[in-house]
Amino acid sequence: MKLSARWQLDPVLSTGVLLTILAVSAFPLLSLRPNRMLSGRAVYLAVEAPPWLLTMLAIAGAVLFLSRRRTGSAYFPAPVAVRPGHAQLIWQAGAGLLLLYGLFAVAGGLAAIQVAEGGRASLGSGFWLALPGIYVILHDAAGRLGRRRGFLVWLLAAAGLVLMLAGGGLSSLSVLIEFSNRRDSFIASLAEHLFLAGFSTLLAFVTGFVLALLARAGTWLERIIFAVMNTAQTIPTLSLLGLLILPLSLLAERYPALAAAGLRGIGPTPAIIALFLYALLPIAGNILAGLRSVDASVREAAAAMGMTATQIFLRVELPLALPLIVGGVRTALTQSIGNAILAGLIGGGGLGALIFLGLAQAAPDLVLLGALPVAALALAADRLLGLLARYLGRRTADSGVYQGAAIA
Amino acid sequence: MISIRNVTKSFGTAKAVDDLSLEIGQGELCVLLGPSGCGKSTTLRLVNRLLEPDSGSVLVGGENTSFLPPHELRRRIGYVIQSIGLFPHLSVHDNIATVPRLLGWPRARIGERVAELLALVGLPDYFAKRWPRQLSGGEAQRVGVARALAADPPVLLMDEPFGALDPLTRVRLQVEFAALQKRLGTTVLFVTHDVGEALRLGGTMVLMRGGQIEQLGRPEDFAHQPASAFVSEFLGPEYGLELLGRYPVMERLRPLSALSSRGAVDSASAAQSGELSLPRIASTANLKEALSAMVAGGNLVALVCDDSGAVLGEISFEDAACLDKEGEQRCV
Ligand SMILES: Nc1ncnc2c1ncn2[C@@H]1O[C@H](COP(=O)(O)OP(=O)(O)O)[C@@H](O)[C@H]1O
Ligand SMILES: [Mg+2]
Repeated sequence: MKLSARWQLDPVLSTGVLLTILAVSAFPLLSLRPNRMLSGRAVYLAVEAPPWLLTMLAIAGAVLFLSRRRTGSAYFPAPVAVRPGHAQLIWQAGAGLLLLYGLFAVAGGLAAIQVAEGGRASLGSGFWLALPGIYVILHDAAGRLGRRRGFLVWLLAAAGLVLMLAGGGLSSLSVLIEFSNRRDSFIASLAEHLFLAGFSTLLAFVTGFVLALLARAGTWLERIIFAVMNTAQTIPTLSLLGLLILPLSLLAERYPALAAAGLRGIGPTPAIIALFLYALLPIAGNILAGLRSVDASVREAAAAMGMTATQIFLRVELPLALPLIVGGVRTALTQSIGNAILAGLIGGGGLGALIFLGLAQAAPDLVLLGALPVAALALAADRLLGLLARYLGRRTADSGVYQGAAIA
Repeated sequence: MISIRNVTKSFGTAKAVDDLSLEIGQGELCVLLGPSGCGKSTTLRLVNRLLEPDSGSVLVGGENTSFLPPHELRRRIGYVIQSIGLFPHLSVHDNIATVPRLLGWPRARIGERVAELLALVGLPDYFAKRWPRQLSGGEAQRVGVARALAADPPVLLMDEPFGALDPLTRVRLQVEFAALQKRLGTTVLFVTHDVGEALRLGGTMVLMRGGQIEQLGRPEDFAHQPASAFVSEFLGPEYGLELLGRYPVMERLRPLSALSSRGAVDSASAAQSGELSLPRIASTANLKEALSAMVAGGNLVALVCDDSGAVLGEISFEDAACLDKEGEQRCV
């Protein structure tokens, strides 16, 4: 089939759209079970949804699928990497957001109907496959729209979902039923998880700062410090947790005072120690790299202007190192949020406890209730700190956009 | 203003500065000249104690620098380097305000001073809000000079400050800086390896070699009485011609002679009448440029004109090829 020569398919966009359409048409959107034990019945969007909705979805999909217009004429085709116009990108982002909201709304609505008849509705494979499809559409649009508009796209996506959650539109889904059944323990687990990840990162930041300053002072010290930290980083997380149990138990046995203070082989303490050790390398490494990145001539100028060593550090080196330091915290915190799941294995609490409980009870909704917030937290920490690092480095980064007045 | 007395500084076993003594008077511009590695930068850094001497002493304004805390000493000495070292995270305003802030000046006075300095180094006032990344090399170096002058230091140290600039910008900044220095009366120790730059700046020339002073004096002395073969070799075979660049033609101007008034027709009418047209030079030109115009025009006399093109007088080859007015006798 030959379309007009002015139109052409975009490989990224069409992949996203195809994946989404395939997911919602060929795979079950929900799975229904009379109760938790019995096996479920699949609910397909194509079967259950009203025909007007399907028609709309099909039209939206088709238009999106074909919507990357080529600039240039049929005789003078534009180069491959032509930037699509702004209007098209905004349309693409809008369509992606509608698909996202629609997917959740339809899933929530169908679930509500089923639950009213006395069953349990969990999200099916069609739903989980459609999400990455929509993600591709949104990511493509957000990436090309530039920093601010791109951020707005993600903000709208998150805000829409939060509104739907808060408004109760999704509350018939089994994950949310699971949530309302366990609201108190969920909130406690969430708080524990944030504490595990946040506190270990904070400890690593304070320690990493001192270590980085020590490492900067002497080369042999640097080698020792980084050798130890690299080793800690290389040991697999679970092994490290296991390795910590024995010495900590022995310590607690010998000194009951320590045990009373919370230092035991199991529980949050070994988890925090392990997370702390993992966070140390990215943080100390980035602080050191940040301080080292300061140009020698800048340091010399600062000294020659009559700054004292403390003033050079506080007014010149630290501000210039800040973007890299925030980058280190970003890596460490994101990693800690993920790794804190393992605390659930050794009685350290956190959302991991929900996940492992769900696995033990073969309750996928419980697993989701633990896993989804962890993924959301890690994504949010990564994006927000990434934005902060870029904001702090806006004046000095090589990719900085020239925004001053025209040169006279 | 600056006294360097028998100062030696070694790195390992190599002496970078070897028993060097140098006096620089108040308001003087002293140019340290020499091949790379001869110890110019080291000498400069010994003055503001970025380096400490192994032996000997350095006095600034009559005070022995080793008795002052380094940061207090440095706040009284401006310092400009080739790589400039502007603080990339601070605006041009804040860069220039560095030393006044360290000295605790009130805000309003700092604001006034920054505006004054931007004008002084020839930058429009809206540059205050720019970031170092947004400046061209020449603009950045102007800001570097403004920053060094911010607290009106009596002494300024400059280490090849214009070395990284393109030739046109470099010459413009050299000429502007020489005028600025005369106006402000700042004592300047200026390091360069470029003979042309030393001549354009004027002042006392100090030629260094292996950490010691090879010759010191006026640029003319180096031509008339070079201290060694090294001096002549370093200054190069065209040094005499380069020296002429220091003298404005107006000093040697003569009234138009009867002979040359016949040649004072412009080239268009000369071409028509078939008459000879004398080469013309601007009244702001120097002797080297006058010679160049004579060579290019194929004549031993050139006409000196003002901005509007009116002929002010003439200059002869003999006048233009003499270094000193007193030297005229030698020429004739
Ligand atoms: N920090 C230093 N460490 C070791 N050697 C140095 C250092 N600074 C300068 N030198 C040496 O001292 C000599 C003089 O250097 P310098 O004063 O920078 O020369 P110039 O500025 O005239 O080019 C050179 O041989 C150089 O290698
Ligand atoms: Mg040097």
